[in-house]
Amino acid sequence: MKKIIFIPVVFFAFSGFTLPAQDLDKLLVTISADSIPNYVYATFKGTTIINGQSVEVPGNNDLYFIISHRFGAVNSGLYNLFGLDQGTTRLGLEYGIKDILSLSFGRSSYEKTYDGAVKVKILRQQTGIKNIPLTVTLYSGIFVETIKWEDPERENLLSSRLSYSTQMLFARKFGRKLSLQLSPSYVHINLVPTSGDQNNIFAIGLGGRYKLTPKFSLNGEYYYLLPGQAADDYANSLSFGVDIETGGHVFQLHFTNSQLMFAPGYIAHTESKWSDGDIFIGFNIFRTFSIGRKGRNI
Amino acid sequence: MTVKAGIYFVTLLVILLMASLQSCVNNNEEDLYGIEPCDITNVTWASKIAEIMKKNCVVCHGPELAYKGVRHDTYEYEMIVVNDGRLRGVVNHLPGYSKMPKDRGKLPECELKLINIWLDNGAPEF
Repeated sequence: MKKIIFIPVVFFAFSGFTLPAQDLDKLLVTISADSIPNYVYATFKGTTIINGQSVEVPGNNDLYFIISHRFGAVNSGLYNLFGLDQGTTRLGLEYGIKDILSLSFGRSSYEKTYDGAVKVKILRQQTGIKNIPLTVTLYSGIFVETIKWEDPERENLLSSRLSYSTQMLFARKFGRKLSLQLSPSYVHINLVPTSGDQNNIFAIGLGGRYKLTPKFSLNGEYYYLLPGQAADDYANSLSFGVDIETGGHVFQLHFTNSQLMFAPGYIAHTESKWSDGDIFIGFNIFRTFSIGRKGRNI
Repeated sequence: MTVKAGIYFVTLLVILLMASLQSCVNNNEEDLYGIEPCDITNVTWASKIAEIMKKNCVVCHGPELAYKGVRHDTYEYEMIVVNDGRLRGVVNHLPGYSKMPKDRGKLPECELKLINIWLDNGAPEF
């Protein structure tokens, strides 16, 4: 009896060595696909789609140095080289902790505004052990204007310099090329000019990316202000652009009607309209510094 | 999410929430400082506009800097940007014009109103 069992065991044991390598790979893939989470990476190339946040956070121990610039209005004519003579700038740093959490800090030239934010992935699109169809990221930021008081004589409050933004970002990567994002957004402004102005502003953002090549994609983004005074007085932000990825850098080049690059600005205070030709050329440049040994490039 | 990352997350959220609760208010300038009367009588360069320009514009567009050759410190210089329409365009943030004051929102409502009245009246010096 023992011999009868021994013969097939030996046969299978040795025949295993002669199995084609492809079959072995398939077997391993099948085992690993079921037993470990298979996360979907790079839903977007950058941590912003254009002006607005994407669901992405920097990788573990990655530090992004982000340079953003919006030139003047394209319709300002040849004399101003279609806006290239003017512009606003934001410099920022964003640091990734454990692949799901990031802290960021930046400074915009508009109203000399500093911003600090936390961003955390609550859900990650994945297959394997769990099948989760979406990546969900929470973004929350505080913004501090430091420009000199317009009227230094009156009793100015520190709280008057502050505004806030919270966004819940829902994104899905459909295959290798298409990613879409829905971004319900809330902006709070501590001090507004009149009693008729809104301190609390709500908007819905839509964004997307379509990859044309592995290193080049088309991007679009729209923020719709929900009806109210802000929607009556300001325009919805609409932007189109491209992402170009090189080793360690992501370049985002775009056309937008929002010159401001922080959430209370582009969501709640976009003045210009595409219909007037009042649009701005802009770029974001992401430079990655991998601080930890296990850091990885975007 | 690992336990350590979860702790980071909760700690940061608590800090952020506390900071927000400490400083989140719903203020407007009318309630805080009252509605200041806007005197729209006798709007001339000498009586009102020169002061507005000195307060908001001359630091970049005056005798010391004169950015892009524009100056707002004398009536003669001012008339250059009045006559070519640039003053009305930049302060009202009209399409095709730079938005002024630079890196700020529009001028306070009363000051903007006075400039527009002054331009509508032919920009008198006195």
